[in-house]
Amino acid sequence: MRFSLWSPMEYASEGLPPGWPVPGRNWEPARGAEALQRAFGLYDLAVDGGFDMVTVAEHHYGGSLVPSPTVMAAALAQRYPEVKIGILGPILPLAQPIRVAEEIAMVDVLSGGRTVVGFFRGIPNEHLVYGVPTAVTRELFEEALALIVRAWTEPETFGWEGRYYRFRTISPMPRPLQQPHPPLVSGATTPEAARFAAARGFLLGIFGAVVPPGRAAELVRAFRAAGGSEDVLYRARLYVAPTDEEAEVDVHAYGLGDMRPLIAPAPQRAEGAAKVMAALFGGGRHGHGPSTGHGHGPPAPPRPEFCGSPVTVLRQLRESSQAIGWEILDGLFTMPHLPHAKARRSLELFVKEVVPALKSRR
Amino acid sequence: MTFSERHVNADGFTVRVLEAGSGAPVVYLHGAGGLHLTKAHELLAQRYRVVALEIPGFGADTENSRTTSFEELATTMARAVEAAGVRGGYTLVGTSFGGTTALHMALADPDPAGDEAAAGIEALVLISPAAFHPEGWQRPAPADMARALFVRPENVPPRDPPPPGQVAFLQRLRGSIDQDALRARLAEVRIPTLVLCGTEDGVLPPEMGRIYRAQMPNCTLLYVWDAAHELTSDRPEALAAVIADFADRREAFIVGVGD
Repeated sequence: MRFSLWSPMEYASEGLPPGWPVPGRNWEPARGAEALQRAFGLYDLAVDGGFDMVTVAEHHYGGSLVPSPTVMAAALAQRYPEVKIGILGPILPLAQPIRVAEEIAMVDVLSGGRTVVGFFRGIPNEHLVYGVPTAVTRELFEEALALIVRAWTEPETFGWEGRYYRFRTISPMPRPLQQPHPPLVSGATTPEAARFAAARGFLLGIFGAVVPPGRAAELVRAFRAAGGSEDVLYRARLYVAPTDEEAEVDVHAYGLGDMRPLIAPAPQRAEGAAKVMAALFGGGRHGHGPSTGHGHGPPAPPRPEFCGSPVTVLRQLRESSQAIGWEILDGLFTMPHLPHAKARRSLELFVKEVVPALKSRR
Repeated sequence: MTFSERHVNADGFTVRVLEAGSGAPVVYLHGAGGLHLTKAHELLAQRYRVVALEIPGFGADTENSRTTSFEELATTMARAVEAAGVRGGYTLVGTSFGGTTALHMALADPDPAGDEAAAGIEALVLISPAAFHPEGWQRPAPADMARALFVRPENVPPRDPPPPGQVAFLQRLRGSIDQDALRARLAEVRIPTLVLCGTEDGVLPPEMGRIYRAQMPNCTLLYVWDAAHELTSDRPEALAAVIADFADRREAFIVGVGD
């Protein structure tokens, strides 16, 4: 079992208005600078505690200070010279694909070939950021992914006549240090998407918040059956407290596991946004990216995928890894409304009491 | 847009000619599936004089047991261009088998640009050209051919299998190519050349386009997304726009001019 820390580089865990976007009047420069240092503190803790990778994603206009994952990844690559740098990842429909290819190649070279890369389709509020129609984001994603891989691997100067992207001269330098390109993680919510990942030699990425465990196991089986030989990365939220009782209290006190503060365009539209997401991401040609379109009946109250005392979380992780078949845990320890001190304590407990027990089993 | 049909005599063959539009001439040579006009041809004919020639060996009642090499076929087709009344310089477009033929026509007529009075090929567009293939390459089985040719084969009417005489003709010409020798000659073609390859091509790997780009001194390689071997069927609007732009601006077409 390997561990990765995914930090949203959160601006503030308290005092921000609910919903999305966060109005700019909430920006306090000193607080913003401090927030980044605080987030680095969590990465420091993880790396010192034996984590194998540090991960960044892309978020806009909210309490997460990572509008450009490659900028952040470049900083991480310099600060942490030993671990993998997870760029998981750029929201392709928002991006200029050639620029993404160039920047990731640059970070890969800067890091000595340590990047692991995943691309995302994004969720509707993110599509608002650059005015991209959500209805075309699947096609944008598929074309951009193909173009980026082509840009990394094509030995001759070439052009691209796409449905959405048109370039007549492409020849990026640098190319990735890792050849032909960094390991790619393909997120999946459907068996078809898992087979897509296997067929292309990608790692399989599963986000526990949107794929229930039974479905996740099904995806891993589909991935392996289709010849997927790479690792399975399981992205999940964790909250570790000294006792199960305290963890349970905090789950309810801070609404841990509730995604709506991250995704809703505004509090009064939260339910509507969730429905839109479910309708949009429920299936599709490859089912890339986040999804909420699963399951039947009333949803269980949201909670972190792994939650409780160190002993409980240790047991949950062992059971989950065995049942689903993942090897890499990409863990999120900060959550909206959770005080930073509690998030930090959660990670400290994890590093001190959970990681050694799981690492010793290898 | 209606294409007129007529026949011309060239090199002892009767060649069917489909033609529409006015303006600078664009000559089209079809692939091994025969002469099928698409929306791409109609769109091109809105700006150009499009002259599509049927290669001897294709069509309702032609059989070509005479031509043994692409060099010979290139000579025949150059004469057919002349017989079709194309005067002055023209843009030559060939797809797949027709691309290989067009390449050989350009090799026989490498640089007319230096001589203003010379009629000839002024720009070359090779769509999924089939002159080169990977070692050990095999054509897709008949059952897989539709999907190899088209991203959406269900949108294309089924075609009759080629008659035996045509199969023999195709095999004879394909077998006549010495790939190494041809590759070594590519640099002789100095006219502006555009190579278009479909990213989903199931007949030939689109990466074959690299060979032309690497060897030809004035060649642009364009990958066409969401298209298989028959680009004019899979992406007709895109193909027409790109070819029109290239025929108009030649190698300068890499410079963006806005919509």
